[in-house]
This record gives sequence, C-alpha cells and structure tokens, in this order.
Amino acid sequence: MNKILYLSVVKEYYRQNTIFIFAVMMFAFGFLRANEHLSIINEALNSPMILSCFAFGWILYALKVTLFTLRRISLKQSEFLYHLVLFPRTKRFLAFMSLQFSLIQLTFFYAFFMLGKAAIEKNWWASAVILAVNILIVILGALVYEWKINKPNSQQNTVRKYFNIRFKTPQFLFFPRYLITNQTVLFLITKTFTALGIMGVCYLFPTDDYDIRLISLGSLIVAFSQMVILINFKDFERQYFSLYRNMPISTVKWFLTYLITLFVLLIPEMIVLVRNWPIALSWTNYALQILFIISLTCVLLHYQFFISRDSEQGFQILFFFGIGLALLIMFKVPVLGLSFFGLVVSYAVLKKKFYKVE
Amino acid sequence: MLKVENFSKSYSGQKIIGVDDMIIPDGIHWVRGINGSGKSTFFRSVAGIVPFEGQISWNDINQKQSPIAYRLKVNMSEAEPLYPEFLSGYDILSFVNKAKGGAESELQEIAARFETPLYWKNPCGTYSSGMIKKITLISAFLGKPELIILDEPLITIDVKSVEVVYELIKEFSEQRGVNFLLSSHQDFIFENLPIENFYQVENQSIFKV
Repeated sequence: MNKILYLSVVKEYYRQNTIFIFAVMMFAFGFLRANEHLSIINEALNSPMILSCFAFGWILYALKVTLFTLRRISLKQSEFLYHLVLFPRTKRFLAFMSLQFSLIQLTFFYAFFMLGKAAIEKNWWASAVILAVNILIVILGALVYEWKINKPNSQQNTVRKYFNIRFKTPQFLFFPRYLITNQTVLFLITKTFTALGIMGVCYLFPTDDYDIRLISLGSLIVAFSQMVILINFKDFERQYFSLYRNMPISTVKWFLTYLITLFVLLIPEMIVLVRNWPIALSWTNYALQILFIISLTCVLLHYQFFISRDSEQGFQILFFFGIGLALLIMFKVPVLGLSFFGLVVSYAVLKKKFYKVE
Repeated sequence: MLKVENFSKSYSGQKIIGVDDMIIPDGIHWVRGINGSGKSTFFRSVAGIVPFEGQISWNDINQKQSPIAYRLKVNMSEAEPLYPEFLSGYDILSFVNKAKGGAESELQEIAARFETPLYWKNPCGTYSSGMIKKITLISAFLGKPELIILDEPLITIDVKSVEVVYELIKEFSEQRGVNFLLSSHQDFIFENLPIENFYQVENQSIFKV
C-alpha cells in the first residue's frame, strides 16, 4: 500500500513541484544566511506571535499537499486507489499518515530543526507547539484522505453546478480557473507575497526622497514573482491543449488572448497597487506600471518557448535578465519604452515559436 | 489532396516516422498500423499539432506558409483526448467551434446526435472515457473542414455512437465533399464505409497497400 501511494502520489508531487520547491529553497536560503535563520528561530521560540506565523506557513503548505493528493485520487488514472478501502482501516490510516508525512518534508525538516533547538534550550512550551502542529497536520491529512477514499464519484456542489450550466467559460479564463481550482495554494502564496511587496514599496515611497524608480523596481519583483504561475501556465497548455495548434487563430489574436489572461491573473496586484498608490504620483504612472508588469509577465511566459522546465541555464539567464532590467530602471530608462520593447519581443517570439515547440 | 514532402518526425534524435514524397487523393482513407507505429504522430503532424521536418500541403495550401488557412480546412479528433477536469465539454466545444468558424446551431445539431447535451455542461472530470471521446469526435466535425482526421474514432464509444460516426462520415463525405483519414486497429471496423485507399504505417514509414 505504501509503495502504491508513493509511486502514484508522492513521486508525482515532487516531480510536478520541483520548480516550486526550488523557488522556496532559493527564497529561504538564498536571501538569508544560516546565522539569520538561527536568529529568526530564536525569536520564534520566544514569541508565540512569530511561532504562530511559522505554524501558519506549515499549515498552508500542508493544505497545498493535501489538495494535490485529493486531485490525484480524483483522476481517472488513479481510480485504482479506491481499492484501498479493501485494506484494514488501521493499516490504511497508517499508510495515509506515512503519505502525508512524506509530502510535508519541505516544512518538516525546518520544524524538526526548530524542535531540536527548542529541546536544547529546554523550551518545552515551544517544543510542544511545534510537535503538536506537525502531528496534527499528519493526522488531519490522513483523515481527509480516509474520507475521500470512502467517497468515490462524489457529487459536484450545487453552486458550481449552477454556474457550469448557466455560464460558458471563455478561453482566456481556462488557465485562471485551473490556477484557482488546481493550484489554490500556489495562487494564494504568490498573491500574498506580491501584495506584501507592493504594500512595502508604496509605504516606503513617502518616507524619503524616492522617485518612480522605486515603484518600478517593485513592479519588476511583482512580475518575476509570477514565474512559477507562468511555468504552470505553459505546463497546463502542454498537458491539455495541444489542440490549440490545430486552431485557425492568428498570432495577433493569440497574443491578445494571452494579454487578457495575464491581465486577469494580475487583477489582485492591480487592486493592491491602486489601494496603496502614493498620493505624490500620478495615475498615468499607475497605468504605466500596470503595463510594465503585464509586458514583463508576457516576456517571461513566452521565454519558456526557449527552455525546458528543468533548464538550469535558462533560469540563470532569467536571473541576469532581471538584474539587467533593474539596472535599466536605475539608469532612468523609461518604463513605457521597456514595456513596449517587451511586448514587441513577446509577439515576435510567439509568432516564431508557436507552431515549432511541443 | 494531401501532399507530403520530405516529411520526418523525430523525438530526442530517434526517428519516429518519415515519408519522402506521398500524395493522398480525395476520399476516405484508412491508415493502419500496430501500436506505436507512428500513426498518431503522423496524424498530429498533418493536423499541425506537432512540429516536423518537411512540408505538408492540403490542396496547395502549405501548412507552414499559410498556417491559418490550412487549419481552417484540416480538423482532427485525437485517439486519447485529455481535457481539464474542471472545464465542461461545452466550454471546449464552444471554443473550438468559434475558432473553426462554425455556427452554434451546427454544434448543437452534431452534439444532439451523440446525445452529449445530456451531460456536456458538467465538468469533464465527471465523464467516462466514452463521453470524453464523443467531445473530441464532435470537435472534428465543426466549422467547414475539407479534411477530417479521426484517430481511432471508434474506441471506447458505445454501438449507438459508432453508428453516428459512420453516418456523419458518410454525410460529410457525400454531401459536403469532406475527405477523411481514419485509423483503427481492428480490420473489420470500417467495412461499412466506401474506403478509397488503405495505407500501412510500418518500419517508420507509410506506404499504400
């Protein structure tokens, strides 16, 4: 049973989320050094507030892996997993606990390190909290899987059913729907991160003699933060919509459809930006920043025509591209020019590569 | 008339299928070959879904030089379609119909013959493999195609739907002059249709039998 669950869920999870895990590792260990991690952990062990933030992060990640497993179980090719109900309940529950534990390794290692540190410091209260949260995550996950395995072919909820019957999904919403339905946690994490970034930049703006370049740098970070979502966008099309290349649709129309989809994906950032927009800056600047973010995400989306998802060199180039753009912004190259250039390059890449890449 | 010149398709340097020169005339044609022989790869290349080396033209419209005009004329139904589980069959067919320039009434009419309106507004995740297969079959008949490629059209569907496929092929062929490329593993399956030519996919090549 453990082997079946490992091969059909755990292995697939790590395969599909390599980029996500890589991005988290880069973020966690690229920006912060070991000493800084130790300082944060020390603070967390002595502050219930900070420790609860850690716990929230672990729970959010557990939600991501749980939703992934539920989706895997619901897939046609995984229907054989429903045969697990034939095993004794205790044995099955232990297998589900083992499954959940294998999936939360990313956060568990960090929690385990924190637990060790708390034990050395004889901080039993923090140790108990860390242990309890992680045990709870494993047990709740197993309970959810147990519930799911006993409910094959469950009915669709009535609200969703009503919307499906009443409304048609236009093509530009195919991916946004996929993102919200199948990659909920990725969507929430990305949007929370970018919202905090935008708010930080906007709050910083009036505190000193900054100009629009500070906001532009913020926009650059917002656009690059969408990268994992954009990788999922391409994967989504590769997996489900090879038929796109049989459609008699012009490059201009494809390009506009992609722009509309990106616009929809960036609505949360637009709202946060409009709510926190510095009074000293004009609304023309706001429109330019939105154009800049859309243009950059469009470049990043179509850049994937040149690279495979595990291309280390491809991502290195992307990193230096980001640094180059930051320098151009600092040297006061107009955002409008960069946006226009980005859109032209994206269009050219789409036209050249659309039918040539599988 | 389908014209194939210096065609070659490889994956990771491994040649899957290649044809120096071949002309497939108008009519209904049956392409045969064992699993993994490269039939689907050839069909997907003709439909413009996968990139390839060489040239493919339909009635002198070159796929690479006139991608839009070519794709207006060539439709395809996949052997094993995969659609996102949260979208409905109607979402997908509406998109294809609009892209292919088909009328809504025609979509409704073809769908009714397969009895898909009974379920097509439910998410694809709730469909059986036969129900999914009907969605891809309907998509191949939308718009104003001149060549329809049906890759294993009869697998997973019930006897009643098999009859609908036969009827549609005959109707589209006789009344609209539409041409067909069909594939099937079973030897007897298309015996009710006026098959013009048989083609065999073997040893990484295609030849007329």
